[in-house]
Amino acid sequence: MLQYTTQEILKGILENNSIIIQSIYDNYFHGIKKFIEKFGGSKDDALDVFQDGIIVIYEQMKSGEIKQISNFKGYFFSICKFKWFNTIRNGKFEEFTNIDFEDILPAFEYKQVSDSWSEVFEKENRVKVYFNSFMELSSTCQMMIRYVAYGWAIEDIAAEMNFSVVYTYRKRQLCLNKLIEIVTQKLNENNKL
Amino acid sequence: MKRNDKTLLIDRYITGKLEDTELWEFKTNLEKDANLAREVKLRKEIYNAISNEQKMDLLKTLRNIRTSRTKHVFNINIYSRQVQAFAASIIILLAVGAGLLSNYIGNTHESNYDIYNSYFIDEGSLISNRSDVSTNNSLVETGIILYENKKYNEAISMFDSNPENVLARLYSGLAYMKLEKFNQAEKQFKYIINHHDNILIDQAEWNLGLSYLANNKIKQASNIFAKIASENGAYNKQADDIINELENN
Repeated sequence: MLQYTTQEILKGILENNSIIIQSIYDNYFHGIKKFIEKFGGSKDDALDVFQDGIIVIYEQMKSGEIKQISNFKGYFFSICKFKWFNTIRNGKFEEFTNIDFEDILPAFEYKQVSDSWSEVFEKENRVKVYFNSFMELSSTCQMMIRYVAYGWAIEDIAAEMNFSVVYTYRKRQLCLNKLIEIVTQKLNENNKL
Repeated sequence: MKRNDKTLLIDRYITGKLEDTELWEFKTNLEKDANLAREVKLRKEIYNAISNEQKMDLLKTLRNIRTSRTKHVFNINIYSRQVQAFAASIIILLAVGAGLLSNYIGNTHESNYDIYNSYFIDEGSLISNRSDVSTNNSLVETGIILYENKKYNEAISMFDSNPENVLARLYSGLAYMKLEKFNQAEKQFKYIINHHDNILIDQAEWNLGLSYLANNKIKQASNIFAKIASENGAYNKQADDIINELENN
């Protein structure tokens, strides 16, 4: 059992408290993995779903959409199971395409399910691709693109990074091309799944 | 540098830097050119994602958890005859090899290294999870992720770009230890110790002692372990044990 209250957990997710997030993992990942393995998934799938579940809660906290939750575990499991249910219903596993979500979820978990989660999952899938692609870049590229994203002028980036303006201009172009290439490749791979 | 370069124009459009005439012209092109519109949309989404630092940090935390949980475990059936036969032949080979080696090299260095080996624990994850140790430096964070993924050389390159960051120095030292480059490891730990005012001195002293030991610098190792043992730090008991082992060596 988690030693934190629901409010502490929610605050921990919003504030990226790694101890609380680790504790959610330690307490609940096994249950999520068991559910996903029962419906054709792997540990890797379970890790993906766990991550998506945390991100959905983070987004809901950020936007103030989250309603009063009395039972974090039930709510989190609903989100994770709903995510996996969407994945298998979308044709990844033919044998499960006709399953009705209501039948496989405990009633108290099913009551919490919201269709709006699908939109968040879809948006977050792309954000995850951007993040993973960005992390594949060299540290110089990461720094440079971050400054570009902040709207810094080339001259300011050059001064900050101690490069010439001409070099910064070229490097920025190379880094952006690389990033777009990785992102496009990953998005295409996702679409093939 | 061309001010009307397409990608630069996109960037300036996304970040609201286009002036009136440019903006009008750009918007007209956007309506006509579907490819341009797609590129702008994609770039805008990427920039929004990247500049959301809080979310990026959360994704990094989740990535770290994922990395630490996906280490491969090899299962060997120790009851299998082949495995037992293989293990027996390895033991014989090792015994013969050890006997031969002992004719050529002294025992002391080997046993110092053994002591080092039995005390060196990869403390990387313990350090990064400590609430009093944190860094806002994305290069150092990337280095830590690389370190945790056992990409020690790449991690060191990241840490090298932050020579004044003591956390980077500590991780760099640990990475060098993993690579068994103890001279370089020593330099990193000495920097932290000479820096004085930081919370990583305990770890730096302890790992400096272990690096000396692995490098067969027994006098230096004994001195630093004696210092650690005399203080009320996290490693005083282990330091005391090592001193005893060195004396009995």
